[in-house]
Amino acid sequence: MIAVAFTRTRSATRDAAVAGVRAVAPMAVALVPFGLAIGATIADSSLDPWPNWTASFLVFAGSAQFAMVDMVSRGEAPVMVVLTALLINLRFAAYGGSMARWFGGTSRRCRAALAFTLVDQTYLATANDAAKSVRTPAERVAFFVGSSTYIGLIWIGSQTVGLVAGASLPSSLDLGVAAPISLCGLLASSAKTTRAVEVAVVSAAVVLLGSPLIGPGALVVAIAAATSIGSTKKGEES
Amino acid sequence: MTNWMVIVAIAVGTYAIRVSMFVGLAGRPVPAWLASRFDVVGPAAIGALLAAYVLGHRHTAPPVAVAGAVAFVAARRTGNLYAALVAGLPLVWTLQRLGM
Repeated sequence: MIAVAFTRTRSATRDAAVAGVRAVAPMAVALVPFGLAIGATIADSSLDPWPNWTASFLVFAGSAQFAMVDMVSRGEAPVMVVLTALLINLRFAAYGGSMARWFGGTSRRCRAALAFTLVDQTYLATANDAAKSVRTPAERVAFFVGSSTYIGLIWIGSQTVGLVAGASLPSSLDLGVAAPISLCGLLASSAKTTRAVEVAVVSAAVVLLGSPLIGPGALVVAIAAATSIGSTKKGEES
Repeated sequence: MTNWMVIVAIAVGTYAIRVSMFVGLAGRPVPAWLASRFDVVGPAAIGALLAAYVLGHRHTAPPVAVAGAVAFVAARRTGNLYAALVAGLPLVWTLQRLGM
């Protein structure tokens, strides 16, 4: 009886990990040309290739790494480079806050380990999954680890190939468009209430209008501003 | 050396950002006003990332907008993200070929 229960738990955990891979795979398609491009950019620049390659897993965030490589190779002040990259990544704090309630029953140490791979794709896959499936804490963790592993392999692998081979995909096949296409698909499952639709529209508008003024800070400002729409006011009980 | 320092500073800072609320809120009650904002971080992020894509790729924006709308409908009908790619990607490429 115990053995049966144990086997069932194990296979449920494995299923959750596989579900994590499947959920993130459509978003990973767009990472291939992005990773190749960063690798090739590092190879073509005057930068020391391997330290910058380590950023693929030390920083583990594409847009920030791209900004870093670009700014360092143009000789911008190190402080500005660091501030820009961190501003771009500041949205991960909101992702972490939003994820916290789906990981109830998970230890702080475990969360600290999972946080390494908290990016757009792993967050959005987890959010989508949390909205439709009930999972035990172990299964949630397995789902996140599955997503992270797949994204990590694609990301680090494509950067390595780009760096070593200077490769880029044939321009006739623009896989980069998979990024907005998969985001539109995600929006279909994520924006099911009027409030969620309004939030998405306002957030997009803030980035479109705000980017010329606040540059890399626009992403986090947009998320902070848009999520306040229709939210319970401070001090008000829901 | 400076290059390494920049990478390490960004890596450490980014990790601190990731951990801050994810670990900081572990086992703590979240006030209602904050929880209701966390509810819609997903759609806010998607809207912001889509807009950032458009700003960075103005030349491909029209075909992507058309195919994105089709992908949205496909995903909503099927509840499947793969359907969005299957419907949207060939459409973008076709529209790009046609010079849109």
